Amino acid sequence: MPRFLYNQKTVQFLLQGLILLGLAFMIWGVGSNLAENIEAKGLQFGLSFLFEKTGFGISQTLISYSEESTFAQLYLVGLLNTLLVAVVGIILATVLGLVIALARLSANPVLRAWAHSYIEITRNLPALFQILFCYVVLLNVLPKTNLTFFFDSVILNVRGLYLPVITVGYHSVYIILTIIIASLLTFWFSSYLKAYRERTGRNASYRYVVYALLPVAVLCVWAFQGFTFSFAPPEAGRFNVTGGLRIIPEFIALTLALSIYTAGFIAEIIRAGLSSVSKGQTEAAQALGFNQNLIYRFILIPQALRLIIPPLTSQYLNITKNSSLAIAVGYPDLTAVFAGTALNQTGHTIEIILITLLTYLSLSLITSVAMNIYNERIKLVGRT
Amino acid sequence: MCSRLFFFLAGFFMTLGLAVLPSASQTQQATLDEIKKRGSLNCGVTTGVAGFSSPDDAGNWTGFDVDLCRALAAAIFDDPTKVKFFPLSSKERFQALVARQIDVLSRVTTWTMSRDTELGLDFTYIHYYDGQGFLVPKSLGVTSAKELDGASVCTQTGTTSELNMSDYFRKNNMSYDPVIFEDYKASVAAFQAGRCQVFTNDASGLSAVRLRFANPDDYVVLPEIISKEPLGPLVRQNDSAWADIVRWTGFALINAEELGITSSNVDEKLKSDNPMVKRFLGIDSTFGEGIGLTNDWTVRIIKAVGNYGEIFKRHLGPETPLNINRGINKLWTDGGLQYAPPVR
Repeated sequence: MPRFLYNQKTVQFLLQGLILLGLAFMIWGVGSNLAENIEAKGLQFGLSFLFEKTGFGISQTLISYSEESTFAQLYLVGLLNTLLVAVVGIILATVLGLVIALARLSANPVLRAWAHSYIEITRNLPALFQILFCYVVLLNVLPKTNLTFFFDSVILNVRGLYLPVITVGYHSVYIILTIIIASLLTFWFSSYLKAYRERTGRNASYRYVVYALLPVAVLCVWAFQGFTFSFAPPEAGRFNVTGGLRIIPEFIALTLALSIYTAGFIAEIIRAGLSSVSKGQTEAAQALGFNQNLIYRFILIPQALRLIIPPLTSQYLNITKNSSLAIAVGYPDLTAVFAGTALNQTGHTIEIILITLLTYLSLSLITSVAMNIYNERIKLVGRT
Repeated sequence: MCSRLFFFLAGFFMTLGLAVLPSASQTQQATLDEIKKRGSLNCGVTTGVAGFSSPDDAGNWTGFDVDLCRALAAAIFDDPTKVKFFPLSSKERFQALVARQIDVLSRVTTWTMSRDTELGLDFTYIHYYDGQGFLVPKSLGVTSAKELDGASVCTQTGTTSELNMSDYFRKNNMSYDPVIFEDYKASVAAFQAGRCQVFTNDASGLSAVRLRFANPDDYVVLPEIISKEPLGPLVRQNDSAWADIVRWTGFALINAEELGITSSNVDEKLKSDNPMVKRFLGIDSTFGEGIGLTNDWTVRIIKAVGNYGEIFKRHLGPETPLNINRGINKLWTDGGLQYAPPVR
C-alpha cells in the first residue's frame, strides 16, 4: 500500500472527495434524466410565464392585484398571505402555549387537568382535521345576515368581518412604519440608558427623552402629511359588503386552528424547559423573598429559555409549513394560488413546484437563522 | 470503523449515480400493449360527480364517463369489468395521466387549447357538449347572472370554471369574491353554509351537485351559459394508436345510435343486409384489427354498454334524478352536435 494511504487525514479527504463526486454524479444523472423526459413528453420549460397575465381574482390580497396582474405579482400575493398566517400564527401559538404551560405547572389541580387534556387532544389530532373542523364550525356559527356593531361601522357575516378603514396621513403604512422604527429606537435608547446607569451609578439627566421619542416621531410624520385622517366604514350591498378592511373566515379558521394545534406542542416544550431548572433556584428565590411572579420572570424563564428555544424553532417552522394546508379551506396562500391555481392554469408544474419549494425553504431558513441568533445570545456558556 | 462507513457511503452514492445514468433511448411501451399485459384498463375519473362518475354503496363505479372506460375494456378484453378506476381531484388529474398512472382520463375535462398543447396530452373526441353555469339558492331572488355584482362565488382550483367566471364578471363590469377550494366537497359545503352565494361549474355538474342537498328544489341553475365546455377523454401524446382506439370507441357509440343499433338488438342486426350496418359491426370489414382490437370490436362495445343514447338515458335521462335535457348532445340528425365520422 502506498505511503500516503497510511495518513489518516489523507484517506479521509480522499473518501469525502469520492462521496461528493458520487453525489454530484447522482444529481447530474437525475437532472439530465428529467430534462430528457420533459423533452420527450412535449412539455415546455421556462420562467417566461411569470410575466403573463393571470386572468383570475383572489379573495384576499395584501397588495393591489387584479385579473390584469402577472403571475409574478400573484406569487407575491400568495407569499404575503402565507407570511401573514405564519406571523400571526406564531405569535398566537406562543402566547397560548405559554398560558397552557403555566396552567400545566400550576398548583390548582383543575387548571392542571384542563391544560393536560388540552395538550393531549390538540397534539394527537391531525392538523388538517383541526383546520377543517374549525372552518366548518366557524361557517355554521357566523350569521348569514349582517350583524353590525359600533353604529354600523363594523359588520360581521358568514363572508367575513368588515372593519372600517382608518387612514392616518396619506397612507396608514407610513404611520405604522414610523411606530415600528420609533419603538425600536426607544428600545435601543432605553438599553443604552440602563448600561449608562450601571456603568456610572447615576441616572442620565436626559433620560426622560425616551418617553417622548415615539409620540414626537408619530406627530412629526403626521404633521408632515398634513394631519389628514379619514374613516371609511364598510357598506352593506345587495350580496356583499363593499369597502372596509375585510378579514375572511378562511384566514381566521386557518390561523386559529394552526395556533391551537401548535400551542399544544409549544406548551409541552415550555413546560419541559421550566421543569429543567433545578428546584434549588426556586427555593433560594423564595428564601430571598421573591414572589411567584418575580420568580418566573427573573429566575425560571431566563434559565428555561436555553432549553426552550431550539425545539421552539422547529414548531415555528412547522407553523409556516402547515400553513400550506390553507387550500383545504379555500384560503389563498402561496401553495393554493401559486402551486395550485397558477400551476393548473399554466401547466408549468416543475418550475412552479421548484419556486414554491425554494420559497418555503428560504422562509424556514430565515426563521431558524433568526432564532439561532437569539439562541446564541442566551445559551449557557461553558468552561471550554 | 469510520472508514468503513465512508467506504459504504462512497459506494452507495456512486451506485446511485450510475443507476440514474440516462440509458440509451428508452422507448416507452405502447399503451395498448401495456394494458393487454396488465389485463385491465386504468381509468381516471372524478372523486364523485353524480351521473358522470360516482361509486355506489358497494364501491362499483357508474356514470356517463365511466361507461366510456367500460366500452374500452369491452373492446380490448370483451369484459367491461376489467377496469380499475382512479378517483382524481381537478388538481392532480393531468399529472396522473402524464406519469402513466392511468391510461385514459375520462373525467368531465374541458378541451382547451392550453390543455391540448402545453401538457403533453391529447384530447380524443367530445363525449359531452357542456357549458358553464351558476347555481344559486332561490332565496337570493336572482333570475339572471347579470344581477350577481358583488356576489361570493365558490369553485374548485385548476378548472376552466375559475377562469371563465373571472372573464364573465370582468366582461360585464361586475365585481365578485372568489372562494377557491381544492376539494369539491369542501366547496359544496361552503356553498351550503352560505359562505358563497353562487356555485359555478359545468351545467351538468351543477345538476349533479344540486342532488346532494337535502332540498334540491330550493336551488336554481341560472339561465346564462357563459362558456363552451366540450368534455372528452384525454390520452398521452405520441401514442396515436391508443388515441385512435379511444377516439373510435367514442365514435362507435355515436354511430351505433345513428344506425339504430342498441344493446338489445345487436344480435339481430348481425343478420342485417344493410351494408353500413355490416361494415360497422365488422362483418365485412377489418377496421378492428387495424387499430389493434378484434374485428367484432363494435359488437363487444354495444353489447357491454349500449349506444350513446342508451348511455345518456341510463345516467342522465328522465328516469334519473339528474334529468338533463339532451339539448346539443342530440345526434346531428336530430338537430344536435353529436356527429361521428363514418366507419368505412
